[in-house]
Amino acid sequence: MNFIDIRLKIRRFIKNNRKKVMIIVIALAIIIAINYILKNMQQEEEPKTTYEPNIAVMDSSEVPQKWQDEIQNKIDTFINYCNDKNYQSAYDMISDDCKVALFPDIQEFQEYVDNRFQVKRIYSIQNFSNLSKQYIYDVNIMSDFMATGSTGTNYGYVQEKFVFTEDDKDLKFAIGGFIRTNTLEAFSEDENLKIVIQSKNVYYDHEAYTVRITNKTEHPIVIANGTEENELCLNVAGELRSDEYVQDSNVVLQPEEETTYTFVFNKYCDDGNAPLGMYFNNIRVLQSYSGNESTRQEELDNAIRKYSIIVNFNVEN
Amino acid sequence: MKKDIKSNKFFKRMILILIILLVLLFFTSLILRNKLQEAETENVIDSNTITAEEIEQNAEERELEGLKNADERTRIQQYCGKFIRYIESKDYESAYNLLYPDFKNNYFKTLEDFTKYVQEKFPSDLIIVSYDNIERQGQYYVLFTTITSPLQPDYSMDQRFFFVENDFNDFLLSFEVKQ
Repeated sequence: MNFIDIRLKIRRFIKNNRKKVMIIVIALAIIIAINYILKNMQQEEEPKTTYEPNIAVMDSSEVPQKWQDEIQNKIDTFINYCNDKNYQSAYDMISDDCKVALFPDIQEFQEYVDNRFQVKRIYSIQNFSNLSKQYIYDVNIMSDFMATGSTGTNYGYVQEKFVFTEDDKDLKFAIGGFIRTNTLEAFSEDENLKIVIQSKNVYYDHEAYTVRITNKTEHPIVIANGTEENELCLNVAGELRSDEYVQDSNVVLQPEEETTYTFVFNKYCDDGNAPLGMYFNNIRVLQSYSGNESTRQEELDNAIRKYSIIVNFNVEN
Repeated sequence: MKKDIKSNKFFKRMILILIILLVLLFFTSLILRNKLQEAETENVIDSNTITAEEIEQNAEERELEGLKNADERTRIQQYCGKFIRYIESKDYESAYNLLYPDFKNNYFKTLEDFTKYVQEKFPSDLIIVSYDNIERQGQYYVLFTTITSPLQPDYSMDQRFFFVENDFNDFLLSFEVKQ
């Protein structure tokens, strides 16, 4: 086969496959053109940092992209309102549950703002933990050190947990580590007592239970007065946790008295354990109870009855 | 016959598209080449007339390249070093220009105020900065340092610096003002 044959063959091939050849040539030209243009475009380089505000410190989970800007904007708007002492606008941003639990009226919220934002503050955020549709952020509130250089003060910050909860197509916003309110309505009743655990407020690091207790007898009843361990406990996955404040405030009911208490237990909302029940381990029905330290032990020793009550929760709570 | 006409039409269209593409490619490359040539020409003019500036520009380019390859801690330390170098070389205006505007307004309303403070509090000649710790608060960095001088053995000052980095070598700072 000589050169002329090869040339003729190529020519014939091109003639027979004119369309295909043209499409391939044009495709190649487009690829070369795009490649050339992209290569000559200068890419903007940005300083790389290790700061990832929307990735949880606890488990490296990421807040969904669709919420990231909204969360950052909400925090920014809230802090700006607080800096400007625009109490009402800041208060309106907070969810109703959070308002009821932490700031039942705007005066209390105003105190919070005045306390936290005595001067202009700046802030930084870091996603801390994510629970299904709840996104918990650490917000460090600091003096405006870029403007002051922290002159005359110690460099430091107040850390607070801001919580965002997906609610249909919206985000509910809570501060002070408040997560949610759960209605429980768990109860136990015998001939002496009626105990109704109405609800609990869940915070990042503790739970506060609202408990209504009725003394049905003609005798005083001591439920907890700090004289023994584990008088009042929360069962969290088999571990008994004592109430935080029983040591300071006795739980004593006079005959036919009905009182609503708030019992607070340490519990992290992201520890993966559900509370199973509340234990009243040392109920004492007494002949009399004066509360005097000098006669207290004698009165307790003369108890008509000593017993315990367990109020179990629905495990979902 | 009909098929041949159709095929010819298609062929002509394709040729037209190809020509348009080639023309576009030609003009794009021409524009890019012109830009490059302009930049080169500027450099040549600069090198022929202002050598000192060229040296400075080269140094800046090298510094920028270094920053691009550095992690954030190193970058912030380099920024701090730059500020201290300005003070050391008594280029107070350049150092003053790196201050955060609100900080300037609060403590050093004029360059003279700043110069007076720096001359009073910082070593007058050789300055050594030890970087003790760094913290990040969102977009801000807090750098804890100790300032010493080999020429003043008794001198030592703990100094906190605060930085915000907008881009490579584009930053603002403030620092704890000593009373």
